[in-house]
Amino acid sequence: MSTPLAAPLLEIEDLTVRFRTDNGWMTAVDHVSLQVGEGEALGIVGESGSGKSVTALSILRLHAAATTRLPTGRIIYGGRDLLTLPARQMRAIRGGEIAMIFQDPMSSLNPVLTISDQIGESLRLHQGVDKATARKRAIELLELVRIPDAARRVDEYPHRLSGGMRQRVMIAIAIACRPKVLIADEPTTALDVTIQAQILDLLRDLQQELGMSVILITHDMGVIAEFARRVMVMYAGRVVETAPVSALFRAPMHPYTDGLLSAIPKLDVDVGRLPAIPGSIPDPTAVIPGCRYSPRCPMVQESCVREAPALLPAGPEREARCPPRVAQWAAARESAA
Amino acid sequence: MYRGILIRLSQAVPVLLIFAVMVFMLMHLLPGDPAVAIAGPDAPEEAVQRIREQLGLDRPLMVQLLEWFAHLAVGNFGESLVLKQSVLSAVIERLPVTLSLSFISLVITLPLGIGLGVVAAYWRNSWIDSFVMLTALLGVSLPAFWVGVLSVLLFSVHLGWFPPSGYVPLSEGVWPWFAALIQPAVVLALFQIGFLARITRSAMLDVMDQDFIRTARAKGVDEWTTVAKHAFRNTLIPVVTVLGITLSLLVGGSVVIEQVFALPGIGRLIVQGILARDYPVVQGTMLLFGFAFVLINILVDIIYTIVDPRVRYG
Amino acid sequence: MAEALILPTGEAIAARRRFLVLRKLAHHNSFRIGFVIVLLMVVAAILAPVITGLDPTAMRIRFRFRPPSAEFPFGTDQFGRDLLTRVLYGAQLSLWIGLAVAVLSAVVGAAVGVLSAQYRRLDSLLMRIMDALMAAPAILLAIGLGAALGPQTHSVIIALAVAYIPRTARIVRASALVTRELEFIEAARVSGASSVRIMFRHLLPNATGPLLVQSTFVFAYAILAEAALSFLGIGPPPPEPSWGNIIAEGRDFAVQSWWIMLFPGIAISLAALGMNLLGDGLRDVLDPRLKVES
Repeated sequence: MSTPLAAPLLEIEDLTVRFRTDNGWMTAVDHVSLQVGEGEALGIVGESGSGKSVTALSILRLHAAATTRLPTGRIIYGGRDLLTLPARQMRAIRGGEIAMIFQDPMSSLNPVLTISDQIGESLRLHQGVDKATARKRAIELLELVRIPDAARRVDEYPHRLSGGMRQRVMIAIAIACRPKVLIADEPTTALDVTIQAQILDLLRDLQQELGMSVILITHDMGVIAEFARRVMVMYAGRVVETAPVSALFRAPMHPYTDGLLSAIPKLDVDVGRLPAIPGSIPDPTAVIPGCRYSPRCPMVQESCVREAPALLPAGPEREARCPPRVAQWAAARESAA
Repeated sequence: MYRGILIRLSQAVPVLLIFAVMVFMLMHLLPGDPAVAIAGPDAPEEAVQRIREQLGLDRPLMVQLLEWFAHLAVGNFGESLVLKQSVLSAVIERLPVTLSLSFISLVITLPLGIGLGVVAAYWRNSWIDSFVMLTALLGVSLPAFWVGVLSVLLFSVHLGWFPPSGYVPLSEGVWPWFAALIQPAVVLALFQIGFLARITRSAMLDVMDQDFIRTARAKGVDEWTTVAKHAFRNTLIPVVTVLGITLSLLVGGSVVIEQVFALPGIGRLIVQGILARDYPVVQGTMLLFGFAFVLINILVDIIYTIVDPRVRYG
Repeated sequence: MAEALILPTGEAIAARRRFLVLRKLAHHNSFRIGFVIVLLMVVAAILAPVITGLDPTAMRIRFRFRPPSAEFPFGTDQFGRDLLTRVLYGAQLSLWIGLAVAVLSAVVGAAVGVLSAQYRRLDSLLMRIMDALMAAPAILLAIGLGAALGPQTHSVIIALAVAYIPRTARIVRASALVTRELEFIEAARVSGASSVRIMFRHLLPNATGPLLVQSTFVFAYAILAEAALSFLGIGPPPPEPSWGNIIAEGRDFAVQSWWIMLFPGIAISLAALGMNLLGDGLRDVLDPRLKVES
């Protein structure tokens, strides 16, 4: 069980999601738990295939139904389990209480509907406003997300907008009904670096203004450093470390996190060639008895390969799935005491 | 937009010219001499020659071609060699028949073809999908005229529900008009429905996999609206592009169906004209077909710009 | 040498891709069913003389208008000819026509398509001609040409091929134009490859996928169209049977002797069905996003 937060707004308990692929069933998300507090900025970081996106999609039950087995576990929001909620109540939550924005703004907007229509749809759906009011609010929202000339833009079609502007529109759609939680799945990955910074600034400002919790999913540690207060590191479908961001950067407790951190280019240090983690993520359909990271781990021990390590507490709001490292930390704390 | 239409019309002129020349050459390739057919098999050579001169068939081909163009320029489509009327009046007489048939067929085809495709795509890989696609496959594999003859055997001869052939004009009542046309219209529609259903299913599958469908669901939009509003309008875009082909197939099919059901329409006019070597009728009617096709294509282009905002100017 | 380095597919890679494609096809349901159907029909057509010892054109007036029975599984027609025999021999002719039309339209259509894509000056001219050919519905053009060339088998083949060449040409041209924009063509040209070489080694091979898919559908349509043309009196003349002219001859006796029309029609439908399934399978494997115009 993860470190308990005082009254979490959203809690994922022991979520497991499996997909059928051509080669058999694969476990995309393996007994993942997390908590998000009110107004908190949580980051989920990991490489492609780590299961971070699937975890996020599961919150709103947006995964492709055809090839997914029903996820096990619970996702608790407002005292209810979202995974077993009837469809109609789930639809009220989507966009109304919990909203999501996606990675590719170029394809996430419907090309044949106007911006006004697409933002307004959310407002009409959850707040029952009429078309005229919806359009007015849409303009206000566009101004909130810092799109210039909002009154003209609102009647245009998505293809007239640049990638950065489309992502702002996506954000406007997402916050239209003042959701309590915003899930952002790699919102800046498909954008230019300069636009990335602007979007992150916007998200941060909105988060503070609206008091939303934000779950930011990314593969980029730099983005985590900029944005999140707490971060969860995922690897091969499992959580391998959770910590407050500053603590993580200062003293990571998992070899995978080490690898991620050392891959960040630093302005002040010349490291020559950027280190890359050798090897690649395991075949998702394969079952590995011990620690999933062991084939690539520079400090692997015999016990790691023999039995699957559990997530161990490692300090205030910290957990790590690496017994040797946690033991090290515990020993250091002992001797300091 | 009007400029666009004018441009496209002017682009169509050379195509129509080439088409007209092709049709002309085609007709004069036909073996058999219409003058002989008109004069009768026992007529003496001088009588046949006189008829030839009368009809201008003895002059060099280039001259005949240019004369035809000159007449066309003033709207004279010529006189039928076999029927005692101008080509234009022959066509106008038969237009209502072909239009009625095409209209009813289209009214059946469009909703069924597109609707079945959408249904099959939404319930992809289910038994609904398999059933619909099997039906569509049968539609494009069964020869229409054969189905037509079998249908007449069953519904007209055996069961007596509908007349086996012939056309009843609207003036004699809506039901008799409809009853005479429903069989040929349905038989004609079979291929088109199958064709459209397959293409629509494919287009819809592509659309349902797009990110913006996921965005719609993430907003809490219900399934019906997701499909009907978000998915369907995007599905229409590729479907509209095959609208011209569908209409062309419809017209082609009606040519054969009119023969099967003895409907005195334009298709029958052309076929009989070809078989009887009636040059002016075939040339004039083919040209009208070509012109109509060009207009239809322009119309389809316009519909396309309505459906897809990315293609509009400005 | 420089060209070989720049090309994305070397010989070995191309061979392995072909093997993967064949394996995918072998697992595709539609393709398998279609392939079996077509194979059975072809075998039945070839083995026609073996399956029935009768002469398809031999008239035995004594046996006219017999309904299907053990002796005559498909019945007999107005001249007492065994219909099973006629349908089997008709398969030879009809399938041959379908194949010939598909191959002819593929070859000429590919030539036109590739030439248009490569030589822009030719493009306007060729495409205008193709548009002109498409201004009338295919069947109408075929009727006109077929009538002009006379009631023989080869007229039908030429007529249908001409009707389908523009559609095939458009597809090949579209594919070739896309291929031309790919970077390795630029590289090939820069390294001295001639236009002809580009056409044959790059444009054409990359168009074989769509071309093959289109050709199977043309085959299906040709079989259907031959039947329609025969029905109108334009087609392989009697007494040699084709599926179409069996139906045409049997039309007058449809009410009393329905079997004359039924069996050749089933044969046509089956052949078209098989080819359509084959085409679906090819399309799913070679390019799942191909929108095919039949």
